[in-house]
Amino acid sequence: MFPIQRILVANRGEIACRVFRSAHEMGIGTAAVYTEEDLGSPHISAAEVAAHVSDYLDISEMIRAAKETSSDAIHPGYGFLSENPNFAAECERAEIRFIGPNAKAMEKLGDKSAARETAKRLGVPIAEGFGPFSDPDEVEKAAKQLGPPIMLKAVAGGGGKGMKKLLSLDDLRAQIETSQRETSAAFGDDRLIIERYIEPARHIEVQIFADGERAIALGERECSLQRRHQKIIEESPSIAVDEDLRNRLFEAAKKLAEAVGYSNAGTVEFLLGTDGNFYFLEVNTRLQVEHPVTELCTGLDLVRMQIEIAGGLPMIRQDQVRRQGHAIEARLNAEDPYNGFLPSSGRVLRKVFSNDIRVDTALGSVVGTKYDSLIAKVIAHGENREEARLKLVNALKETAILGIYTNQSFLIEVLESDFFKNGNTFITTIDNIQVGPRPIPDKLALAAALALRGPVRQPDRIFAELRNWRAE
Amino acid sequence: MKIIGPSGELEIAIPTRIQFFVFEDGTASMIQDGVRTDLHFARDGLNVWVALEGCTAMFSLPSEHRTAGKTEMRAPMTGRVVSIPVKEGETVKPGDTVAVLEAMKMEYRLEAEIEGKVAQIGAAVGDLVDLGQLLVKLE
Repeated sequence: MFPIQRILVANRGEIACRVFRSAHEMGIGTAAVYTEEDLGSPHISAAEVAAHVSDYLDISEMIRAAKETSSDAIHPGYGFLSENPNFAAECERAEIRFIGPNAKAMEKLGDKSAARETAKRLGVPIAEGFGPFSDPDEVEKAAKQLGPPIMLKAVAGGGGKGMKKLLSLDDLRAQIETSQRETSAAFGDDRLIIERYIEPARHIEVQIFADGERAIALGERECSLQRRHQKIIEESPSIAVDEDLRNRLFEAAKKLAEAVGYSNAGTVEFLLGTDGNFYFLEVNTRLQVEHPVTELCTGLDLVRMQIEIAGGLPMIRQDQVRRQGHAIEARLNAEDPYNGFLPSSGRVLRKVFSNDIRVDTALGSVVGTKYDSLIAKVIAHGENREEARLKLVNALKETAILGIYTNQSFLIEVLESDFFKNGNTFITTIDNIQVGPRPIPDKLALAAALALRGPVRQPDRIFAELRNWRAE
Repeated sequence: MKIIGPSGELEIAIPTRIQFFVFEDGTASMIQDGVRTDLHFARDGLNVWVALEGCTAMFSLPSEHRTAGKTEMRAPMTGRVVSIPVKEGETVKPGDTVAVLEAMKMEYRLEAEIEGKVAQIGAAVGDLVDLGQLLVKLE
């Protein structure tokens, strides 16, 4: 019998649904948690049982929910408590398997400053920097010492929360305070580190798995296309990584994991300069949003691998990892690119996704303002980059979300741009784009006018049938 | 006819020979000169949402038109007020932050576009404000 009977996912949205899917396939029970704001959300009905919690960041509530639902394992998803070593330790204490690294390894690699030290000791290149600091005065002092351009980063967590690029020291204090407010709200930890900002650079990350002794690398992902440090398009392999560089990145990533006795899934992030030099950034000690890109290239189920490792089953060997083709993921967010990317919330009147490619989503009938704006991940795989790109564009064109504004047409615009087609993708690329006016095709406005003019004709039965027949 | 789109008023000339059908599944078809265009459609009160080839927008009739003056700083989204760093009677310059909102774990600053005296403050720190709610009024 498999050592895990029921997995509670201490998370919400699409990642909760993603974990439930693998658990179902493995014949393992599932439990969801939900807050007041998430009542009626799709991730609740995707699990066999569910428990109410006051907050996705409350460790004791999560342990209580696991006991209430007779769960013997917890998957933390991403964000929230996923990189909190206290949570991993509390699970251990309560004899609940934590599907992720052990608390000690998480502390050593998840803490950005400790990870920097480890990298330095192992000879993995890092960017110049200081920290961690909790006292804004110390942050300010270190920032002045290093001088611009600098990067403020939250010691805890990821997803761009608390991250600030400073090209000058004007407004330094206000930026530090905003950064600390964002990071304490998101992760309950206000410590920051300061790093030299390298530009132009690509964001390259390596997906690793480890079993406590040995580490393997499943492949790299390029996630250079980010808006305000939030990735929006991710792909694998990277157009900028050749076989020699790939081997060096894999070796650096594996070395870091093995040095701290890491176990389970992790992602080692690097900056790649235009000169071909790379710098270690940080380790995400959890499954990442963009993991499907690696799944489509390797044919592996990363959540299943996580569960198997947590259950004590052997991990696959490096020589069993095969990569094939090219995958690209686009993140559909509830934000309006033509209105300063402001979040858009409200009732979802209608949603249509492509049936032809993978879509990871848990979009319900309402998008609230309390949690992040990701509503779906649309992921294409092709024999080569161009094939994947075309499939993704077509799938995004088939997508329709009515009732809220999304970044859909912006994603299409980026995927159809010359810089994307040519692989000229850097971390600053998206922030430097001048977003044009909102595309309103003539036919769209005409249809709107016809609908508003009313009354709208209901089609007769014969026409409806004819249309269906034609559509097939 | 005149309609209001997301970027303002539009003048639409409606061709004489055109048909528009809405189906129960939420799709709609427009037929002009024998050419059919299928799109997605939803009604939300007096507004309509339409989507075609990856473009989505909400439209309404002009009666609903709201004018957003530069003196009225309104919430650009639904969210929580993090701070309002100005007081009534205080003078602000263009670029000064007049309010900070938070939604979806990210902060947004509302900056004054003109110089003016703060005449009214419409929300308090911690308030949940709706899209379009008055935050700060300048004079």
